[in-house]
Amino acid sequence: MMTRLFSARVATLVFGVAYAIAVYVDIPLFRYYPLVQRWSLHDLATQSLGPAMSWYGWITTAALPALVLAALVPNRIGDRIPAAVYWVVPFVMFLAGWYHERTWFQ
Amino acid sequence: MIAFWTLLHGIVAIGLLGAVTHQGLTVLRRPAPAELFVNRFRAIPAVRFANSIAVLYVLTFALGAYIYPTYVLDVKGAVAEYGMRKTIGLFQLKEHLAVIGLGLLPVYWHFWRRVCLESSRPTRQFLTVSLMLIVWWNLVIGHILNNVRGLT
Repeated sequence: MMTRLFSARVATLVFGVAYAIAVYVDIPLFRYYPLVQRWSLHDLATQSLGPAMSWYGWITTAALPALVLAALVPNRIGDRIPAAVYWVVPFVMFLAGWYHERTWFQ
Repeated sequence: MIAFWTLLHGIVAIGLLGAVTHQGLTVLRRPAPAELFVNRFRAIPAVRFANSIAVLYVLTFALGAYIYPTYVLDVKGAVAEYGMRKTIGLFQLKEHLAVIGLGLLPVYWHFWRRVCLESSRPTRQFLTVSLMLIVWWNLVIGHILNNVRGLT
């Protein structure tokens, strides 16, 4: 029942592409400020709030379209996505992550 | 309390590491009599591990996500003050790799449980070995960073 309502191939593909875009362009759905335990839809960029965490926001940015499309696209269509696509998805996600973190290695 | 969650995160991760290493080495194994220890280690019914790996991965990920803010506050700043920027960079990559593994889980499970085992064998191998390498990298880097500056 669950697998009939959820296309795993669509979920991984959309999640991977959306995550790569979200990280590369740096568009988290929200940010978390752990010092003051505050969530914000906007970048508050105030030093008194401490460091901002975009990680949860990136994941949510990617997960929302992935879950919606995986539920909407029928499995008979999702199963037509070639298996070779899933050889590329992790590399695209990794490149976006590497690009975002490159300053730590300079 | 954060030490408890960090410890639990590590223990569940080790369980995941064992399961995914069994499966990862099994998919790379050519059918042959399992006489040596290494071959016996790899001669397991790999398909049975898929559900456990998926559940353990999500659990490990959730525990890591829960302790992540404490890491940002207590560890990241201190390690930056030590001037160990590359160490932070490696940990940041670990976080991206953890998400990559999470993203691969649906299709990993799909290729193990919904696609005939005789077809798409290379893709199943690739996904399983990728997941195995991600888990190994994340456990080793997490352990190294915990040695540099642990959560207390």
